[in-house]
Amino acid sequence: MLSLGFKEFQRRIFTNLFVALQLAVILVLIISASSILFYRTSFYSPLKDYIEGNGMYCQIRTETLGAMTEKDIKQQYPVIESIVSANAVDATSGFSNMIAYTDDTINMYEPNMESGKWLSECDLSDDTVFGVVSAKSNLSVGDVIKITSVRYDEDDYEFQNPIYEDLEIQIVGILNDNADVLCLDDYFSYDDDYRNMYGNVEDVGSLLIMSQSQLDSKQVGHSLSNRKQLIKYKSDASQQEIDEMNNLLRGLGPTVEMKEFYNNSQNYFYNQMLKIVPLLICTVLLIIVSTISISALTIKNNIKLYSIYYVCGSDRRQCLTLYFFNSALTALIGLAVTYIIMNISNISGILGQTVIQITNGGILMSAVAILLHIACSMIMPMVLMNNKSLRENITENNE
Amino acid sequence: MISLKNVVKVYNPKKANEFTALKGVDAQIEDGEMVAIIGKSGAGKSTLLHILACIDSYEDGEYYIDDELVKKLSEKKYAKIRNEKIGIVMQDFALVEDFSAIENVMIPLSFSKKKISGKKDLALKALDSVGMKEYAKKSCNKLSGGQKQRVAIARAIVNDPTMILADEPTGALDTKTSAEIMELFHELNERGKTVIIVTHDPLVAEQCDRVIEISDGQIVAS
Repeated sequence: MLSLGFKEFQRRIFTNLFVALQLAVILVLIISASSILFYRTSFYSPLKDYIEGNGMYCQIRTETLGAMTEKDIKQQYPVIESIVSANAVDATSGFSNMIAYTDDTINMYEPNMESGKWLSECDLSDDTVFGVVSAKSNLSVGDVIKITSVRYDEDDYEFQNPIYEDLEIQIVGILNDNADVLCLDDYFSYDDDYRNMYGNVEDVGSLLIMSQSQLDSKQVGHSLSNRKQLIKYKSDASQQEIDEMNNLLRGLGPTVEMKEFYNNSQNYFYNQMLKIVPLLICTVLLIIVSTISISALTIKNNIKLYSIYYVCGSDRRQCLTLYFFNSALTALIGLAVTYIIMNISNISGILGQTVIQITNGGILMSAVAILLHIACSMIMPMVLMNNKSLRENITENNE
Repeated sequence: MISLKNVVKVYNPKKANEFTALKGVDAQIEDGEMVAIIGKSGAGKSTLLHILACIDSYEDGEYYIDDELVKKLSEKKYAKIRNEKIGIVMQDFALVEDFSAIENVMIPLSFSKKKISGKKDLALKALDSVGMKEYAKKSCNKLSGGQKQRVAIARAIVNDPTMILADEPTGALDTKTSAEIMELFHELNERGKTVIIVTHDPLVAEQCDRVIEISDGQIVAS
């Protein structure tokens, strides 16, 4: 029976290729639309708990606070539940920027990787210290580099005798050229929103990112830097505790209360949505119109074929199998064309300048569109065939 | 043998546009008979043919093929009967126009529930029996009306059914070609096939052993 399916596919090869191309255009549109949506939400989602809770967006000046880690701050101010920040590492290296995240921050957000893996995929309890670097560093995954940490004896109150120790870092990942990384830049504005918690790798020199917990295990010092922080208060904190903490933070550097930061974020998000929604509506309309036109193209022929096959002794299951085969084959070609288009765009660097990327959401929506196409081209002829007599179906659908 | 006992067919039952197409049809057609079913448009002859061909169901009564009751069977079972026991020829040939003659004839073999070996040979044999072997590889859209109907007949007999049902088989053909096609039906009948032809054409009906006349959903002459 499959040979009959192949013959049927060959018989309408041009129509099928046209349908496949149309499907490919739809899939590219779906991937693009979902990427635009994903791009907006991918920055907001990791910080959602912070932005929608009580807390402060701030830039604590290290000169006002001294060398403190998140752990120290949380111990000193129990009202603080957690902090998103990038600590400066007390070490020297060839990197113009060297930062360390808490394990929570590492797990919270994964930047775009060019190769290798993000720190969240590493076993941070391992004895080897892992690092992720920017592409500008000209390093490769698997390379081992050395940084020199600087520390002082507990008795050396005046920091007169620095102790230098070399530490090997194994590179596990290379950041994409235009990757956005948490707490990278130090430009603070009172109008900032969630996007400003991220900085682009391209805007800084070479960058090395490590885990605070791994540095702690090697006794390498690190402390809050002059970069921006997002501080979250405990949910059971009293208003008085919150007010006191707010006042204290205001004295340590520029701050924006979380409610205001949330409003800024929401305003930006909704403004963007207002710009995107017409595009999305057009895309959805195009998808619907295309799906119907694709179905209409195939239905006219399929009704007659179903009827002829039925007369020749097929049952519905056999007809459905044949048309599933045909629709799936067409969809497969559509998928292959989409894959080729996306790959060519990627290799040529066109995609690198846009926010378009193949996301899980895009794949899911594409799968839905493909299933819709297959279901329409299979079920609609069956339904329409039942509405007319066999003779009408055979004679009225002559090609 | 085909036997119909008080067969009733109602379209759109229990709806405002309910229509009784067959009002208790009784008929018996012996093996090897060549029968014409005639009647005016809307008399119910196509409905009767569709029931005989297991394309349509009926509400009341009984329909037997070789003493087997054909009623409320599974779709698979109906498909098996259509595939193995009945060959159907339609007025508009019902061919897949872009397929070659042999590809069209092989369609019923593709849907057969039995394992069939040498499908191509069987199809060629069927085409040979209707004088179309030399056109086997020719696309159907390049054949004349008469040739198409021959291919349709070859497709109807490829599974060696006991019964050939033809719905206005000469309706789209000229007089000479109609005569050739009727000759072909005679040959099939002589080979032992039961042939049932629905027709408007009295000349076609005259060539059959027996004529069943249907009017207003009832058999008025048999």
